[in-house]
Amino acid sequence: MFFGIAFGPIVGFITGFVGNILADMLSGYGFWIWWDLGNGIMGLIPGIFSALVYKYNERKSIIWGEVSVILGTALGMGLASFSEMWVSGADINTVIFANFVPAFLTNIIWGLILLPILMIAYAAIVQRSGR
Amino acid sequence: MLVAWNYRYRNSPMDHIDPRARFIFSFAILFAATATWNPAILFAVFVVSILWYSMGRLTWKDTRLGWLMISIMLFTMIVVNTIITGGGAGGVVPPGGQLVWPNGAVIFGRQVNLGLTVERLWFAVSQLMRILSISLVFIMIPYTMDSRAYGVTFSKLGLPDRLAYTMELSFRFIPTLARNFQVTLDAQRARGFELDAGKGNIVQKIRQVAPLLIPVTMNAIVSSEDIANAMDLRGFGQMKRTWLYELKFHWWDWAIIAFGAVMLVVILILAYRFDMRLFSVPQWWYELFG
Repeated sequence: MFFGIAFGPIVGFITGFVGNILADMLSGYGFWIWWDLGNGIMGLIPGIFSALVYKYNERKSIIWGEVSVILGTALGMGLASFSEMWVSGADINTVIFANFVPAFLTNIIWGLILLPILMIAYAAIVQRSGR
Repeated sequence: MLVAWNYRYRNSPMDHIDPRARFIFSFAILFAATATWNPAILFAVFVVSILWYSMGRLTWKDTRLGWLMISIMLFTMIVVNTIITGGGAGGVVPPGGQLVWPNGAVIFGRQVNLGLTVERLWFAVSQLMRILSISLVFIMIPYTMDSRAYGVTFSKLGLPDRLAYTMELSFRFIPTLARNFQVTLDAQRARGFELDAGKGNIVQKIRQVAPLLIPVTMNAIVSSEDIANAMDLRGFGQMKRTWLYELKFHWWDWAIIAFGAVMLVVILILAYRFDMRLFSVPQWWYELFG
């Protein structure tokens, strides 16, 4: 999410997509294309919002960042969870309560707390490097 | 902290198959398994997946963590949802059906009426075959594919060089990132930071991890800008690049791709042209339950 906000939608998508592939491979969980895509979307949506961010430590930018986290997590984890309907044959209740809710809540809590901290830290980096 | 990939060379048949053929075949299995609920077709795909997995010569010790995660998912989806609660089969299994225990059961002296039907039980079997077919082909990839092969594989499969090289660089710099993580952790500990990840509620846990994550992330960004500048100075992206790790198709790779393609096409034709995509219960399954 942070990389999407800082570097745009393509970087955000690749960070989420490739990052999830690598994390699953390091953990030995295999290769789950729909969950990789879902994590990619979680980075893509904040990347779209990056056009509204000028100064990373501004209140308005941080608010846009938080909005993008909520939207990105809902869409990304939504796609990944609902893919279980055609992959595993799960019904809507299973998908919502066994897949979507745990994934959505976990990611949104991490995102809402860490994104503002990372944005403020990155603002210092930007100022120092003169970007 | 040593970060090691799970892959090691086993001299198995899977080690001699081109990674491109493996990915193409794995995706053929994925689409074939998700195209239909017909039990005969699902069973055939399941058998093919088992044979494919056996070619990797993986041991239980190698893969137990991955199978543990899949078992949890299967338990939640199949045992809890499809079998116990009666959900999980909506939209696939027609309502009603033959009860497995029409007279209920006496549990701890109490009469309990169980609504589990023969159809829903067979749906659980079908779900198991489908999910396991997909899991078998994909879970083995990190254990049986050299990490140096990912970038060149995606490039040769037609992905843009930038995306393929992103994969390559990611693999290359994970150990570096892990080392930076350890250095930062040691530096923070020297300043009185304690990583007690188990204490507090989730918000407190995240706040505890922040003094570690923020410096590591910022260092990664600064390092990546140096790498990007170095690549630009060397003209990266101006023309199609070559790869140090070479891939070469053999006759068996073409045979595997052909088999996967034919299998997928045949299953799609059976599913959509001959209407064999819908869920059905074999007669012998009903006979098992009288």
